[in-house]
Amino acid sequence: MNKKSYRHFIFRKILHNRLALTGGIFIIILSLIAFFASLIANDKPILVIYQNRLLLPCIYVPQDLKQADWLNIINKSDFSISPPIPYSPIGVNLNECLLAPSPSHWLGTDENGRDVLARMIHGSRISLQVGIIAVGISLIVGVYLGAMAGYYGGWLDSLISRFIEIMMCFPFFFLVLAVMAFLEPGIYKIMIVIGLTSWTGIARLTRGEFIKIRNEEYILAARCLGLSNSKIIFRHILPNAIAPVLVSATFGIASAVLVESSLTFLGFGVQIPTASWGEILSQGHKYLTIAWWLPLFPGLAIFLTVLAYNLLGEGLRDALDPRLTGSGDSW
Amino acid sequence: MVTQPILKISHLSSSFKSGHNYIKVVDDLSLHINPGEVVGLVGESGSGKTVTALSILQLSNCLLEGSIELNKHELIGMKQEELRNIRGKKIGIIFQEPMSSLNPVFTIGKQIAEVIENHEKISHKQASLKAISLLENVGISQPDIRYHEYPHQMSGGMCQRVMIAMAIACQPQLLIADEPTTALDVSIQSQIITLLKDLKKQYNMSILLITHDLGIVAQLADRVAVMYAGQIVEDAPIKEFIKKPEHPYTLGLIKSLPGKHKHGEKLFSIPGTVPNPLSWPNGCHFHPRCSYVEDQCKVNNPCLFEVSPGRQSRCFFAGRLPDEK
Repeated sequence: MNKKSYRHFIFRKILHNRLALTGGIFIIILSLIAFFASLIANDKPILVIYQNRLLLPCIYVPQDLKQADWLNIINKSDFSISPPIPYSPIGVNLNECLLAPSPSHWLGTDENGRDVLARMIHGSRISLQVGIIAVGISLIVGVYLGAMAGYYGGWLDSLISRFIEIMMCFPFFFLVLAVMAFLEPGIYKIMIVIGLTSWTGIARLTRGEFIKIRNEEYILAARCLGLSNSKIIFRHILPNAIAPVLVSATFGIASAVLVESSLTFLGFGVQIPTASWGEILSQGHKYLTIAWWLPLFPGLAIFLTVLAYNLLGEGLRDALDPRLTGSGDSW
Repeated sequence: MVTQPILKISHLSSSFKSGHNYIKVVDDLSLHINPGEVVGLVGESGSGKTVTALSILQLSNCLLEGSIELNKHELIGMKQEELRNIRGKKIGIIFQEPMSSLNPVFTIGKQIAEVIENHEKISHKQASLKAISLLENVGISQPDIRYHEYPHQMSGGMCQRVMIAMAIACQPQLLIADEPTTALDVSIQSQIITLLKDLKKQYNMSILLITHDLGIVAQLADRVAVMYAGQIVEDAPIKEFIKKPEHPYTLGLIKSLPGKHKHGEKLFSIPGTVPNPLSWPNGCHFHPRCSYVEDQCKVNNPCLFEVSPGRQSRCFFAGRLPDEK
């Protein structure tokens, strides 16, 4: 047996699961696109040598060139590298309103002449951030409350469990909508609100895992060795309990992406001119009859991202659950 | 000079709460352990041995009555923080199932080092060095490589050695060994017994050896206390105990050991079964199965009293039992 055999085993099982692998690769590519968005879609060049100065305008624009016409600079420069999609997500060009997809605008333009592909590439940042930050918040809240309830039991468990049940009684989407109605619209508020309302499932799962593991003999042994409760909870039980929780968090990311798009569509999310998939969709639905590409592509992106997270989550769940081990695939 | 016992349990009773009732599983238990002494606590399954062990560490989830003194400090009612300084530091414990007593997600070395860091002001590096030397001390070869291995990569015997290393990491005065060899095969059993013997000498600690195997007690213990249905029925030095038991139950136990019987003859067994803690009989807990029973046994429960110096028995007939050998 080699050193990290269990992790290897899980990894191998995911690699063998084609769908989960596809989902994983899609998310990795999407993360790379989001991370390098300003290098992929930008009206400024990536690298330019202008008047004997080496400039990286996508990353940093010097003070004296804030108002510069980059097209002009590129023409005058000795050497320049332009991004593959030479449009900014907020660059309005009223001469090119509502153009259908073509070689110059691969996914067409919107009613202000902004390139849809450039906007979608920059919008992917929002979608990924929403998923990760919202689920991060719900993981922290859910795991903490679930751990307390499961480990200590008794009245604390009753209190937290009843609180979870009360929270679960509210329809999730309308709870988020109601809270957002009282707040100024904003993408970070959406993330926090989604995070603070979607932790119930994670809390219940964590509670169950903790109840199961706290009665294991090695936890009794840890108590006999004089370790404090917080060490036992966070160092000894949590690593054993976290796997199924992470699976459910993966599904949580998918639902957070969807909720963010819906909220932005309804006007509670990012504000003009910031790009997000929900926002493009929301702007595009007005032109549904004349510009099919406006709602289609962001809708497709949302659909594929949610699908990818779900496939990855499902693959992770199958890999971590030994009862679902397929035939012939033994330890 | 009279030696002060390290651990002195007097009239301990432990009861589990069940609904509105309390179920007593340990009843009027008195036991002392002197420095450097190995005391065997013997009894059948369900006689309250493990509950006694966990009660000493205040981890039994029971209602405790009586007194447990460690070096003259009362443990019952002690604050959790003080108790944490005793668990693992003054009292070490090893369990029956070595494989499930180690956390599967950490390397064994990390688990030992964690105990040391928890109780001693020591740097992480020094703690891991100490853990490696402990592993060597309990007879694990290539301790620096084994340090980085996970529990599932080791055999049961090795896991038990790791558990012992964890239990003795802070040089406790008392080691509670709760059926340390039950889950191991016979050849490993004797290795673990030898190891415990060596460590006892090396660290000069006392051991409370909980087992149902009289053979192990005979090999290791200086004194033996026999439990039956939550009570200690006899407490005696091991040699005298084997030579002449002073309680009908222990008499039956010794008689049922294989060895003296003729070939082809059935082994002796005590008739009946151990009573359930819910329905302990009135009077002496053993009377329904006892062959010397008289009317007073059915009404009065005898106390543990001294038969001869160093020997205690909980039977009205102690000292007067016929010698059946």
